[in-house]
Amino acid sequence: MIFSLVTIDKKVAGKAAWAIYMIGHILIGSMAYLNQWPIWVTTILAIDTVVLTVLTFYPKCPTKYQSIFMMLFSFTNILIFSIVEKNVFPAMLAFLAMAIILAVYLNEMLLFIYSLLSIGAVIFHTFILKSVDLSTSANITSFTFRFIFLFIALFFLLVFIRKMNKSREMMLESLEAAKTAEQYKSDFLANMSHEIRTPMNAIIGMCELILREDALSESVRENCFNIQSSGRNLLAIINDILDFSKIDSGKMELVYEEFSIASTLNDVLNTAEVRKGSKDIKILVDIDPNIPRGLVGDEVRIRQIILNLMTNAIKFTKEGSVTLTVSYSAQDYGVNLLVSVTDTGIGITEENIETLFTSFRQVDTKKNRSVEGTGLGLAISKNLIKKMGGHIDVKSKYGVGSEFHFVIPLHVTRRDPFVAVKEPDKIHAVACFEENRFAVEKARLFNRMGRKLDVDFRYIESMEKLKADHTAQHYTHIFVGSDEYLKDCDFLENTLKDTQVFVVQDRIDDISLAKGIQRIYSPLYVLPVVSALNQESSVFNLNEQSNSTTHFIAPKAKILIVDDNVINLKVAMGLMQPYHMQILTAVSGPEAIRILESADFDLVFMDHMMAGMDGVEATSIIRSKDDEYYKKLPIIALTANVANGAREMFLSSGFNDFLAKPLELTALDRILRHHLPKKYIQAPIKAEPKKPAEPEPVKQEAVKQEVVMQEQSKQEPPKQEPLPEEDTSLLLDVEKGMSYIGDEESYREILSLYVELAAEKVPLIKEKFEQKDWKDYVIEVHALKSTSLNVGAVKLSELAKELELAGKAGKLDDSWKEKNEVVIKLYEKVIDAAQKYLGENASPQKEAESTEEAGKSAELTEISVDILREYLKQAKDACRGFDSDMAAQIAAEVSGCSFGGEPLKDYFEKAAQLAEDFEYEAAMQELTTLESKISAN
Amino acid sequence: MKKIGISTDCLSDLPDSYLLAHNIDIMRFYIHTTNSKFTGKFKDGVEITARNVLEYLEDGGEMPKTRIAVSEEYRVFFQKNLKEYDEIIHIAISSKASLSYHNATESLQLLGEDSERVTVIDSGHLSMGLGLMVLKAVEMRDSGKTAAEIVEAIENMRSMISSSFFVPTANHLYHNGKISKSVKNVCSFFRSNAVFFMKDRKITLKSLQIGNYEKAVLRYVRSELRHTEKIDKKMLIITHAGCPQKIISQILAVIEKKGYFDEVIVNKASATFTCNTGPAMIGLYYVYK
Repeated sequence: MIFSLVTIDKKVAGKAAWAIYMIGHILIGSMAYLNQWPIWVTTILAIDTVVLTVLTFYPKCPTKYQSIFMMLFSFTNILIFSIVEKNVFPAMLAFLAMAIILAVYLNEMLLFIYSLLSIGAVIFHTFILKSVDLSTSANITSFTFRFIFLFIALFFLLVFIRKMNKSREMMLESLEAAKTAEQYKSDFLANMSHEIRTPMNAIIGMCELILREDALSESVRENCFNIQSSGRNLLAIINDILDFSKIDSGKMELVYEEFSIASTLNDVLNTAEVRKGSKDIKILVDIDPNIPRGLVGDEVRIRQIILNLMTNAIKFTKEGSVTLTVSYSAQDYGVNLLVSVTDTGIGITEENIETLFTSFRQVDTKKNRSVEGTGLGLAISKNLIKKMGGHIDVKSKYGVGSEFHFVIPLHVTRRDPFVAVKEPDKIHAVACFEENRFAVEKARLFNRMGRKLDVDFRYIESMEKLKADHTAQHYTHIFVGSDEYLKDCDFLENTLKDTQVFVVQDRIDDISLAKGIQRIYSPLYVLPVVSALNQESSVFNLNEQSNSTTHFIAPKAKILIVDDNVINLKVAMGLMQPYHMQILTAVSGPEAIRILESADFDLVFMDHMMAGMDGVEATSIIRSKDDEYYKKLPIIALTANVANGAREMFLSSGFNDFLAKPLELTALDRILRHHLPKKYIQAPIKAEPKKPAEPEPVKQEAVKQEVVMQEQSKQEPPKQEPLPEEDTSLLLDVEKGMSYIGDEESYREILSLYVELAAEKVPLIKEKFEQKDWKDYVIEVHALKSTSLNVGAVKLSELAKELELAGKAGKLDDSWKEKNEVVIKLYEKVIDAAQKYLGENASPQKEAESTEEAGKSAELTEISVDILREYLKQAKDACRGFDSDMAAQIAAEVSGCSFGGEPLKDYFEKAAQLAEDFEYEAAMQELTTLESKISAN
Repeated sequence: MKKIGISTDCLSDLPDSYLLAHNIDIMRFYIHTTNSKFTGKFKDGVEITARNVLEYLEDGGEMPKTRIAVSEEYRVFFQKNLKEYDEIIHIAISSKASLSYHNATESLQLLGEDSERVTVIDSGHLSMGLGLMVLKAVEMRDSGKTAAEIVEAIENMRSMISSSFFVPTANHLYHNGKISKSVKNVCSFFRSNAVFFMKDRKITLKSLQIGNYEKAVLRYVRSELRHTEKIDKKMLIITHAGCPQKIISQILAVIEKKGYFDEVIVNKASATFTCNTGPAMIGLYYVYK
């Protein structure tokens, strides 16, 4: 800003200098004409007039060239004048005047040269041309004074310019410093976003998992709910601050994509219903079903705005209603999307309306002390709407209520309605809600809905009237509230032969319905109504969603989740569990790539910030593969960093979408619905037990697992099967494998994959060892270690780990050949055992004792001092970095190892536990104790 | 008795509550606003409000443009109202200030036989000058006058109304084609506030009010109300576009000091009129005796 001001000043000054120069020019020109100076003088004058005028007014010409030419021309002119007139005194004044004019360019060097030339010209005139009469002392004095005056004036002019330039430099430096500070602020916000959101992910996600447990006491459930609720509030505040900062710094970028308003409204209304909770508010919805199906805009931001207005309306309304109206007007560029949220809340005074959309402002703070919020919501919404080219305004009557309405212009890709009834002629529907409070509004909404959908849809205020009417009217569909159903369930159940009955209920109500009666959660609006009328099995349109249940299941969908943070993996897996998908996880980019090379997936969730190869790089590698499958595979970025145009970065980096951490069910639901193949999406089976089989809690050994297949489509508890031969239990601990993987079917699937891969892996490991390609060898044995552990080949996993650690420590050489061969042989035996197991159709249960014995008989692996030191170093680094997860991982790795015959498990686990309790110093002490012991030995 | 419908253009600046209470339908015009990504077209009063226009200007947006209704839109508008009323009187903006009167009359040809049931009046005014005519028409309709009587009275009223407004800059009026470039240049040259009034149905420069906005506004008000003896004391309407409350209070104090008018109504300009005049416009509207 300051810089541009300086630039503008110079340009304006340049024009001013030109104007003054031209006045001088006219004067010289007039003198040339009157005094009949030689013709070449006027020619020069004409040339410099043209050149300077062009340089001054040609917009692309830098002022530097104008100033240089002006200096040269003026000097020439003054020189010509003094030579022709043989009078240096007027020339001295002209030199000074011109120096002042040139000063406006603030070009110190230019002025310095000009000053030297001027003084030189005066001296030349006086002493060479002898054009100055120095015969008398008076003349000498006069000349000396004038010369000194010129000299001093030029000197001061130079000083002045130097000062001006200095202050200008200081201003530019300040500007640069301000820009840098702004950049630091942005970076800080980006980091803060990530750093705060990551632990928030764990807090909110873990609460979500706990709340899904059946066996929770009321107090634990309530406390957990409060933690989750506070976490969400905190997250909302963080998001608001981040959004506002982005808007404030002009870094808020919109992403224009095709979207359907159906999904947006579904998400908004589900969230609004949850936020409404038990408040005595009715959410009424009036949506024009003819809104075009394919809109182009930033759907995420539009959803954010509507949700913000709905949340505010719910917040500031104690009782009454909150009405969401969405309509459109067709335009030549597409549509204007019109959204209004009307409430019967406290209202806003006229003077407060003027400042309502101002940042950090919450009106009537005394009255609304109980209402949470940063006061940024409306300012953010307004700025987002402005950025989209739209407008927002409010009408309000204090004490009566408010109406916020906004309009956004959007392009359209598909003009057909976003929702339509399949056979409108055959519909003869009726809705009956006896609640008097909103009878007028409801009647209006239902009548309009019927008109817009072009179906016969009536509204009746009493069940008596409905009963009387039904005999004559033979309604095809009846929509009633839960009270109406309870009041007249016999009548409604008797109509089921030729009528479909839908009971609309609040989420907090829990009534049991007779067979054949269908349930719709309020609010009742065009989407669920049309789904009901069309008899669509897709639950998406019937807005059945509660805090901890999902819309659909997709048992055939294969998902890969990639995250280097095991806790995040656990949270993500837990959240996806109700979808009954087949989930595979990987803890690094290379691991994910390897898995993708060996199996097909329908969707990948990739953490963008991972140690080593990050998600962006991994995605880029996946996309660069020749196969078309890799180009089309949907990859969703998981990110805690939502600042600084992260979204655009992900989309341009090959991701199809992104999911912000902490993972939100609504967002996850939207992503899955959008990116999973439609054929895989099924309605949940209502008759099934409430909860699918929970995975075993992640054990310490499993923390380091890199590939965990967890098919969640089965509801039966996993069956335990004994191994065909007793001695093979040492090779393949099926029970242990199943405990990692979840159930028998998943285990068999993974084991098959394991066997299948072995055909490729065995020669590969041999080859890498022989070629001494230790880098790839380590990768292979690392994979062998983790995959073997997952299928229960514990011994093989431990040996592979030993090789991996040796490789990482740079110890591998020919002396390890024997060990490598042992591993290969063991690998082959494990494969044989696995094939044998897989070949068995019958799978009788294995006695629990045998597993225990097998566990006991598993010997500890003796590791070398160097490997132990490496473990200690890693564990200490983890403690120094306050990384309790890493400390736990290392403890899990070391749990099967011993040194000098002494098990190491206790030391490392104790250290991990201390780290978990934030006692990092004590954890370090524990590790140091072990280190001292090694040194003593 | 025939059912008479009164309609007008949104530039009448009548508040929605009044329109609703007296069943007056209005033809809404459009406003184009532009940001870096999108030039949107928004319907006055439905999709865009005067406050939106003012904020848009304050944010340094490109000067918004207005688009009046075309003949086809007037045809649909009249046809809709003809379903409800036997006769319609549509009072349009001054024919020399906008093409809307022309479009409205042209649409009558598209109505066929029904065109006889619609009368379009050239108000010769805009903003609440036009609004005053609508108020009168509604009053007469409610008192049982016939359409012909109403039309005659409204036609006669044209010369009895004073419509003037004060703007800090004439650029917006010029941008929307309401005044000529030379008038705009005169105002720009003197960097002056300007007062315009409706003369022979045209928006005409009345005076330049040089100096501080606040003082100039009060000067304009005093000057307009200099000869109160000629003004009907029944009603004075002040219409403004984003004028600070402090200034409105000062104007009201000046009027109160005169103690002349029975009723003084402060009204906000429509989005379209705000677009045409720009921010900080103040208009005074009254009827001569």
